Amino acid sequence: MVVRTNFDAIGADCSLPVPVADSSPPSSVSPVSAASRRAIFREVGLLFLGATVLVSVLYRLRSIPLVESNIAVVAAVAFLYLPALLLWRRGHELEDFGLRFRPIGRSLLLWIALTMLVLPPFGYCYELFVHRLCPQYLMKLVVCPTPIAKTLQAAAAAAAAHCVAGARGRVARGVFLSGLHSAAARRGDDVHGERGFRRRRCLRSDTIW
Amino acid sequence: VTFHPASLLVFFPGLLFGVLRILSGSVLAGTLFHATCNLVMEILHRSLG
Repeated sequence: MVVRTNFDAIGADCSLPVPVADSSPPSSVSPVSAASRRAIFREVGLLFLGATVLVSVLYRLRSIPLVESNIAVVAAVAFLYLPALLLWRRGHELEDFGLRFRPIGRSLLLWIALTMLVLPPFGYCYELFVHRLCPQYLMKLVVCPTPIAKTLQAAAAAAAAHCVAGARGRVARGVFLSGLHSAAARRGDDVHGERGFRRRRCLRSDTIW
Repeated sequence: VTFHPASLLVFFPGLLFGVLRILSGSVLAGTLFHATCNLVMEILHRSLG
């Protein structure tokens, strides 16, 4: 429950504002003064900076086995409990800020809706990225994330295996070859014959990675 | 702290989890969605190569 000073609670007798529960819609008058807002931003910024510096220092020291094995836990504890310590000192609880299960029904509904809304198009775009966009264009710029690059390296290794075996695999005839094909044609190579095809395939597999 | 562009893969979902927290008033929806995203990514990695 967020405690907020409700200025509407000031009656005709000019009594002091009473802290009430946040059950009414927020009024147009902000209950937080500019000075308080600056103090809040400063406090949050310093806390975030402190936790980031702590985790960053530990990250640099990850060659130490004890640090390496516990850095994730320390980071989680720092970013969760440093703010919590300040809140507890002021008499607030983490539940006041959403660390609770209630309302379960609304949460489940939002989870299902967002899952249906985000993940199917994401999966489709991911498939396009991995199988079409990334091999054709982005690999040349080396912007593929590491797991995808590893995936593509595996594909290149498969192409190399086809090259050694002399087989015309689908991977070897794929999109990797289009640029090299035109370059070889300009050099006057036998781009349509078996010799030219095999040469392009091997050379391309070696040069990508 | 690293400045790798892949860090944006964490930043933008973080914004989404914040929106979920605001809309639902609880971290439960964000927690479930995070777990679902992890599961879907694992499935995509294994199925798409």
